[in-house]
Amino acid sequence: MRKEGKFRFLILIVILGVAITISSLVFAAQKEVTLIIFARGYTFNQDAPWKLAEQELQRRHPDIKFNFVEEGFGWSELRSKFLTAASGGHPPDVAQVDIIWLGEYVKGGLLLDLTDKALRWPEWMDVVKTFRDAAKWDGKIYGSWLNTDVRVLAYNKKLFREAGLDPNKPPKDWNEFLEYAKRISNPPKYYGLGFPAMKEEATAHRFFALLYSAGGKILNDSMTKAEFNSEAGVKALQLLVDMVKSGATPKSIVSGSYSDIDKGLYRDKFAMTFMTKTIGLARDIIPDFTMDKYMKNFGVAPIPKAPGGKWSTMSGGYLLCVPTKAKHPDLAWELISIATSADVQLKYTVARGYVPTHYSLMHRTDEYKKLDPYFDVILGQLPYAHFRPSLPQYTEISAAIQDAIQKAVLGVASPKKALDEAAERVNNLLKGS
Amino acid sequence: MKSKANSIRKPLKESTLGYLLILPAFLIIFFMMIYPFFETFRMSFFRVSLADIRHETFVGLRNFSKIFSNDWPNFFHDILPNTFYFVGGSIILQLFLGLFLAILVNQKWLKGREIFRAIFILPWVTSAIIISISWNFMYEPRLGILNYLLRTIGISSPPNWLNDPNLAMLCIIIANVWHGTAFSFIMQTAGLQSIPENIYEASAVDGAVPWQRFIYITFPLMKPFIIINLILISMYTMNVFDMIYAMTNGGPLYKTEVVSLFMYHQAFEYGHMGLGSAIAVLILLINLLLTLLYMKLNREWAEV
Repeated sequence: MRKEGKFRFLILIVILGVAITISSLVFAAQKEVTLIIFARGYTFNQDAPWKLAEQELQRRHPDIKFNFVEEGFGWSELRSKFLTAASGGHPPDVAQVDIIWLGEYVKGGLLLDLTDKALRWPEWMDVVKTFRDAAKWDGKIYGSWLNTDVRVLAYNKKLFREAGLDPNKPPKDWNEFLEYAKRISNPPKYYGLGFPAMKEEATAHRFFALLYSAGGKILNDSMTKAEFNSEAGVKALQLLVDMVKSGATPKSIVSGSYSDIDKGLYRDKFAMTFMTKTIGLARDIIPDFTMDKYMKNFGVAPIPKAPGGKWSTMSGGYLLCVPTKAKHPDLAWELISIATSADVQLKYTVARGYVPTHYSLMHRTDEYKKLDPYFDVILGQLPYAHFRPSLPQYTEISAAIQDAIQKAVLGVASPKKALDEAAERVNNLLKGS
Repeated sequence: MKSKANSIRKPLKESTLGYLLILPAFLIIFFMMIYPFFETFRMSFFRVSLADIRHETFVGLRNFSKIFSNDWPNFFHDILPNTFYFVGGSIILQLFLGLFLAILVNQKWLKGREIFRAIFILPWVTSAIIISISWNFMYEPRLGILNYLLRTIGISSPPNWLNDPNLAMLCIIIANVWHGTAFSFIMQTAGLQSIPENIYEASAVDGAVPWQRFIYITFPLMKPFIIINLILISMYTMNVFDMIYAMTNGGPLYKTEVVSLFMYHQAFEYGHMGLGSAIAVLILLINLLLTLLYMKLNREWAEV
């Protein structure tokens, strides 16, 4: 009996040993890989792009056990966090890069040249040529587009109606723009126009749409000299100053955040503002959102043009890039190629109200229109879109312009003087490069 | 012979153990303070970009001269006056309010002193960012509670608070004082409680009235606490960054751009790490000068 018991115990030990050996072999065969993603916080709010891309990558590599570390940031934090991590030698595997940071990152040697990988990717040629070119620096490709966007005039139809204005006839030029804004304003309850004048990139970015409409430019063609202080620039800034002077815009726009202004439109605090991702924000802000409610109370139109000027808007957007010292560059690129593929981009841009960069998606506008009734207006602005220069000095150039806008809006200097001072700073910066 | 050898070895072992015990603390201080200090000091003589931190160019004192030659914001016209306005305003108000509250809560006739102490300490344990957001709400010109109250009493054009270049710094000082007074309150309470009760009893027998007791007993005996408090809050306030960053980010028109924020903007927003390091060295020097000044003041007071 005792012998039998010993024998059973021995068998049990052997079985256990075999089981442990087999499971450890299986476990060892499944390699573990951690992929770190640095992106804007809101990109993780829906399945596209990240969840879908991660699932697909896992499906393609059953032998690998992936851990995805998703780190979400605000706009300026994304840049400073990435720069700090990359210069410290510990960058993420995938980085979302605003198109205006590309020059700075590439010149610092922080991004991997993805030219070969991109050219081998079947979907690369489906990306609109303008965007393919914008993803390059010195002829090399450094990323794939997650999305682009264009600024439009978003307006509050309720406040238009209260002022006796036709909610289906938004202003077309600056004269109407100023007149409507003044007429609608009922301070401090609500104002005709909200535009950012705080120290944020949005301040310069939205001003540029007016600058281009009046025939101006940010820098000269060789990007060696400031041109925003031209007559067109002065006219554009004067319009903003007139808005504040007439009480159509409050002075409080010099502090806080531009997103408060955007949200203010949907909270009946501002009648008009320039913005992007209109539908995405509307869904987040409007209580009990329905499409009927949205269309009845809010409208989207092209940004009013300068008298005798041209339609104009500003475009931006993000690339997904692989940092130079990424631990898993091949897998990172694979994840990017899935996240920025037409199928995933469609889901992401529809959900957030952004603009796609693939030719194939431009023909699938019905799918966008189902979720954003004003998508045609947004798409119609693409031909008039301008990009900011992605120079390494851009952050400082923008800061100088933001200072000029603040000075003029607060009445510390005339638009001409404020822009001339900023131009001098920018020229010194460009000379130093 | 053996016991003699043991007695020699024993103190040696004890000292080794002592060194081993302080080693973790030393390593923490070395890597968290000493090494970063020397690295910052070294970097202040180089042109280094945040995007390309391994590529350094020796520029001598050029970073320091660049701090002073910057057009706008200019170090002497904008940054330094802003810093002294912020630090001076904050420490004076914190010190007096802290002392006033400490004396008030130390009164024997006051019921529930412990509860008051706990309430007064609350702002100190609240995060600076939370405080900034709360004060931002209050200062908001259109929807904030301050202007709502002002409109209610008939003021049709209330101030723009944080958006007014002339008021923005004052608004931040008030928020910072609300946050920091608790620390002074704790320090002054500790000072007050260290004064022996029998001195007050003796002065009462001699016929001293309350204000005489404060001038001749409380204040002289509180001096060391006031000086330490002054040193600590000066250094702390000089380095305040989070609150101003969250409330105004240095604006409008650089009217709230203090030296710590100037350093952050140069180093992390514009990526000029060398210049940022030079500003950090300057902050250290200012802190050092302030500390020396206070210590000298303390010595002179002690002699008086």
